[in-house]
Amino acid sequence: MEEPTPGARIEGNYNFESLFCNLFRVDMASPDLVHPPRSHSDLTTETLLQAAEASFHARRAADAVQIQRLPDNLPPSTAPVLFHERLHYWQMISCPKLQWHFVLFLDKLRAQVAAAGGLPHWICGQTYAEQLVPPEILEESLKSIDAEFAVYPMTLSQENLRTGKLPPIFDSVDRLGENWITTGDAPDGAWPTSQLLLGLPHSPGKKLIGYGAMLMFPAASEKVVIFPFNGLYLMESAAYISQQLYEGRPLPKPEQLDEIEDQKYLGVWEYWRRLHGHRYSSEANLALAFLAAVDLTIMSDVIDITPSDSETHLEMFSLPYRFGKLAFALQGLEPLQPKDGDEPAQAVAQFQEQFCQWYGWPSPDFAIKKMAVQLTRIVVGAFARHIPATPENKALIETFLGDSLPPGTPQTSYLAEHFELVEPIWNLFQYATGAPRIGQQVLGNMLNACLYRIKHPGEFALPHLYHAGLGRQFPLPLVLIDGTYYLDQEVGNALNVGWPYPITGMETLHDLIALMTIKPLKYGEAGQCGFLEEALECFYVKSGLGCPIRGLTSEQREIREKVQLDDWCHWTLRSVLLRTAPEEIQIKWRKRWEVESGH
Amino acid sequence: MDSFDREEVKSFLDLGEQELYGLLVPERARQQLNSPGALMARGKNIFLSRASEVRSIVCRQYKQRGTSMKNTIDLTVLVATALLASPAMLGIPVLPMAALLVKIGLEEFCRSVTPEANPGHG
Repeated sequence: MEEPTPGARIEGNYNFESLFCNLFRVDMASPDLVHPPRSHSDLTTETLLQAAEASFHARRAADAVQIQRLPDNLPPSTAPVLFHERLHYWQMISCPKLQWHFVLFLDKLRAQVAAAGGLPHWICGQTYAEQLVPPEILEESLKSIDAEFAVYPMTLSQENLRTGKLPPIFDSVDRLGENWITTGDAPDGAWPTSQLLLGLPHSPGKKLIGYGAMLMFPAASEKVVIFPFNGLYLMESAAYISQQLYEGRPLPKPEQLDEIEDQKYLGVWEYWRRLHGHRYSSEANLALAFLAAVDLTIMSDVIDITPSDSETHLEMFSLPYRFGKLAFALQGLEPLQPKDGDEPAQAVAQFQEQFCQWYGWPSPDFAIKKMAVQLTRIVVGAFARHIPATPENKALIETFLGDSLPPGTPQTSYLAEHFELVEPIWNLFQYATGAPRIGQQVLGNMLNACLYRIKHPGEFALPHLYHAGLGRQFPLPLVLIDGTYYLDQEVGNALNVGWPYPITGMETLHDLIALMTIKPLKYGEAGQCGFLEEALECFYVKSGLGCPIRGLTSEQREIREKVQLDDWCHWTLRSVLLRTAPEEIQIKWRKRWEVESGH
Repeated sequence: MDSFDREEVKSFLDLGEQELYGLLVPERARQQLNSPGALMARGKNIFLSRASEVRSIVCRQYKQRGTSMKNTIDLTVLVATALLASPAMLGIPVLPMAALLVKIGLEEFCRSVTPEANPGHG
């Protein structure tokens, strides 16, 4: 392997549906990030070998994937980017609100597979076998999630503000003037700072109600910056501040936020700094409290809740609403100030618990236990057909289904309160053999992350301090660079660490590839592949075998014919498995497998 | 050739190269979590990964019909029209790519391509 360019810069991207971490080179003039470009003759030889390997797998209805460990000699700039993307992965696998988003994504895939006449039971979901979540429930929730991850560019001039020419986003709830709260002068004199109630549009006639901020920077800019506290802005701000702390850089004090990119990474932090900065004598504690607040926001209780009023519903399901309430209400609580010798994670966990008790929110511990129960239920459902019907197993399942609970008891809450009843159920994971369902490995990872949260409260909120431990337990399952798949450096340490769900790196990798491949099914696009949808190269394209959906060149067709690879790829495998592929493709491959197996 | 809105074409030409790279990222891939600068980097990766196929499609058209065009909007429309049906552009927004090529300079981009060059694979 060639030495990488020391000054080479990369950037990263994290996908909350496929869980892919993509790294991209910034300096295009530099050599390849990790290995030199192949010559044409190399490509031919290697392509042929890879085609033969892929064909071997195709004959067994399996996928060909080449994977390697991330090399040690990556450019120095890679470390903070990888930290940033790992952080997003940890947010996703350990926070009930984000775990819930993923489950709904799987439910939507199941619904679309069923609509296409396919086999939804190959995908994990809340419902068992061929049953589906009612579409009206699913659609409403998914649209809200889209609003949680949308960018809302809303910079306006002060003239617009004076004359009331405001973006329509304000009209949905109320007029601006009735909903803003001036939080007073920030210590550096940057004001005004207002918290606004917004209605984030996501589908005709539908809004996600939540708070946002309006900031001005009179000394540096004429513009009025407005942004929501939705999931995207919250998580990017938390990731950016964590990354600054991880790199030992000073915490940012932006002079203006005219650019949308800056608003995404710095907006919520700047609001927090203005609101709470004067209450904290230490900037480090101000940052810890910010990370604790964002973490508590995405730790809402979303399972089996029947809100008594719309206020509770918004506090649990709308991240921008929840953060707005939390940030504002925290002014009434003592600042977070870990004492000398205090473990920061413990201090953060106590701070979060203290707020929840004071404000009447379910505690993070309770919310995460409920999610653990729900995840256990979904994962067990994925392989229930393999569980022997012994009296012991039946008793475990009955506990789980609530048959042994007093009538009318909300079973998830009951099991979260009596968590010792859940632990024996994990013994059933020994029967999780055979081909896993799509999403099963990711859900298993999430369950393990729930347990880590319960046993190590506060650590996920402060990844700049606890990244070593978190990285060992929960490495990124896949890093994609230029069409090559890499395992995170620390993945070797992650296996068999005693968490409930047994994880293997390769099975998780295949799960991610399946999720990426079938992602367009979310929109009903059975003939599309997620790699194409995202303009990413997959193993087959990178190997020179081309993309059967995009069309093959004559050389690619020739190589594929030579080894009988035909149109096999990540997409063909999953589409035949789910029976969403065109019929002629399904028939062709099934016949071939029958011949191979001698039936 | 006039299937594109000229105002829209102009709005793309008014953008900087960095912004145009970011706009090459497919819409659905933009609503994700990106590190600062990732969209631009991803767009550059997309541009490079398609450059060879795009060159074989665009440069033949350019050498045959575009070298005399002085109006950048006309030139962008010519390039976008050529790219529109190409499998190489599957999922990738065409107008930002065309505007980017015009801003980079088609003369430079197509230096190695002759008008008779093979238009590419089927």
